[in-house]
This record gives sequence, C-alpha cells and structure tokens, in this order.
Amino acid sequence: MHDVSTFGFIDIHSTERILLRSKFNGCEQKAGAGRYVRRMKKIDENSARIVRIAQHADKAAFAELFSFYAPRIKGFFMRGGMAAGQAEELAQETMLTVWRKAALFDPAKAAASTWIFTVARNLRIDLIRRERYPAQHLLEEHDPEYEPTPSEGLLKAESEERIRTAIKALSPEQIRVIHLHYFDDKPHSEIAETLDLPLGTVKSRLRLAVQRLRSLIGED
Amino acid sequence: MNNRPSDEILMAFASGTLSQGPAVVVAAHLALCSESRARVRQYEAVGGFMLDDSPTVTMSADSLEKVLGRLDISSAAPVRDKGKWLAEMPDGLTLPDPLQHYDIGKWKFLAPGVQWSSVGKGGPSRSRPMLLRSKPGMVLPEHTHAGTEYTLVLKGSLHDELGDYGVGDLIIADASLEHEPRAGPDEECICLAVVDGRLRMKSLIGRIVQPLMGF
Repeated sequence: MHDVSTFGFIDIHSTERILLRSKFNGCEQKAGAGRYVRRMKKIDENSARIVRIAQHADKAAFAELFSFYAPRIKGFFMRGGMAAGQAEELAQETMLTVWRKAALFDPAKAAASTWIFTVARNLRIDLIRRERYPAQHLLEEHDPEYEPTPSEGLLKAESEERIRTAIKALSPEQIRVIHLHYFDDKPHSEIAETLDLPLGTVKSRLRLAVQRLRSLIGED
Repeated sequence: MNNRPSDEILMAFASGTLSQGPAVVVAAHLALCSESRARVRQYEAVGGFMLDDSPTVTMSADSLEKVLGRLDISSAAPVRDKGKWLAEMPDGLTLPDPLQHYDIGKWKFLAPGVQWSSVGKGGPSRSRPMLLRSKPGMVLPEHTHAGTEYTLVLKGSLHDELGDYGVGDLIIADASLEHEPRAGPDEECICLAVVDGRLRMKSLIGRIVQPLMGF
C-alpha cells in the first residue's frame, strides 16, 4: 500500500466522470458553452448530488456519489497507512456522514471534493486521537465565526479552479513530497528513505514546493 | 494583525497532520484571522483535489448495500457540549469558538503576576494547550524549547525581541529561540499557548512548576 510509483495527477478519472455524468440528468442545465463552464460543471456534478441528498434524500444520487468517492476515500486512508479492513469501514462511515450532514453542505462555500475531504480527514483523526480535531468549520451550520467575508465568498468559484491549475503546474516531485508529507502523514525521515534522498533535500524540497504552490495560488 | 502561521503549518492543519495541541491553537487563530482562514480553505481544496485523484481501492461487494441499509436509521448525532469552565475570564473577553467545547481548568499560580489554566483533558498533558494570564508588564517565565511553542494573543499584547503582537497574532517560536515575551504595560494579557514537544523551563521557578504542570 505504500507503493506510490503509480500515482500521478493525470486526469485518469475523466472517463469515469463522464460515465457518471451521463446517468445524471437531474440538475443539468443547457450549456452556455465554453470549456470553462463545462469543466466547472463537471466538478459541480458531485456538489449537485449532495444537494439532492440534502433536499430529497435522493438515494440514487447517494449511490452515484458512493461509487465515485468510496473507493477513493478507501485508497486515501490506505495510503495514510491504514489497514484495508479499517479503511473500508471508515470509508463507509465517511459516506454515511456525508448522507447525514448533507444539509450542512453549502455549494457556494466549497466544492464537493473539498467538503468530502474534510469529512474523511476529521473521521480519520477522530479515530486516531482521543479528542476531536478542531477543524470542523465546513460542517458547522451555525457558526458565526466563519461567515465568509465577501472576498471569501468569491473564493470557491474562481479559486478552486485556480488551485487545480496550480497543483498541475507543480513538478511531479513537488506534488509527491506534498502528498507524502501532508496527506499521507509521512515524517521527513520516511520520505527520505522512500525516495532515497538525503533528509535535508526532502526538507528543502518540501519547503520550496509549498512556497511554489502558495505563489501559484496567489496571495489574495 | 500581522503575525500569522507559515503556509507549511496551515497546510498541515488543513491536511489534518498537525498534532492536536497546535491544531487547537491554530483553529483559535483562524477564528480571528480571515487571511489564514482563506488559506486553510485553499489547502483543504488541495486535499479535495488529492482525494479526487486518489488511486481507487475496490470496496467490498456489499459495501454500498450495507451503507444504504443504514441511511434510514436516524443517528443520534453527537451534540458537542460546551466545555466546563472553571477559570473566570475578564469582562470583554470572548474565547474564540473552537475553544468553546473544551474544559478549562482553574487559574493557578505559575510565576509572580502570571497564572495558567489547562485547556481540554485528552492527550498527553505536555502537549495540551493552556491559557496564560499575565498582569501588565510581567514577563512570562523564561524557558528554552525542546519543541515548537505556539502562542496566540487573545487579550492585550505581548512584546519580545522580535516584535509586538496583538489580539489574533500567533507567535511560533522554535527550539533555537530564547524567548522572553512580556505583556504590554497598559493591560493584562491572556494567551493560548502550547508546546509541540517537551518544554524545559530554565529558571528555578520553572523547575519547581514544571512537575506540577506535567511538562
């Protein structure tokens, strides 16, 4: 499960997304045209599914969401070092939480992938630690602290796309160290061993990767 | 406000790999800082992208059926209780929302003019956050770090060799820094602090207090 050699950021799932899309007609709008619109729509299909779950307890939408995300969540947990059985169980739990908390999902604030990621992240931490992770904000319905300011409101539409573009602009080595360290929770020493690099190189590569990502996303 | 955590720390917070104590302090900082909050959102979006592009691992054949079977069972959604607070807070101080759910212990003596109280009760005590309350102009006990110290100003101000810090500022001092922050002269100062790693107090009072605090 620690074999990371196969991972890359080529959009190998686009076919699957298109297949899912063809089954999904509920919220389709007449295309205004333009690649940007189509791309955003593709990303937003899963958001629309969560909204349908919230509004209509739509089990078909849930099944579609499950078939796309559950295997990814399981893969994500296993890359973080979790055993297959536990990853399977926690992936089911994550999807169940998505169903139950769907009403808290606000498509204006976050993409479906971001929201589901935070659900999975919180459950993983809650399992490992005795205390709940303090980062619950995307899930909380009445949280005056996190009412987005106007600039934060703009974040989603432009910025999620900009973030995707930024990640794709990183070198494969940079994406790899970010993924290993931050998302798979591997310490520097283990990354050094995995990639057969000196410890100092790992640290500086990581620092530069975060800096580059930061400047690609922009300061605003 | 000008003192914010590095992007590496915000990325660790967003990905869920920052350890619990520092995560509580960073969460409290986020409640006070829209810039850091926006960046954490962006890094959570990075997480969403990573998830979308995660290699898939086949779920067991009956997994969807199992979950579908549980959808209609109403969940006793755990309501997060408000924490039990034994320390009184001065008028005009509202603790940031992420702290509302943690128990807060009584104020205890730490050094002349300085009190501390524990935040939460889970996890090892040495990495548990604490509130520090200092009279105007008092120096927080001198210590060196074996780990990284996170200090968030909640009321008043702090001043050290490197700068002045106001409400919402998060000071992160690593092991190499001899750090001796002093509360501003006009107002008492309340901070939320945690040490990620073992703290060694240098002064005599530190050596006495250290065992009591569980460091």
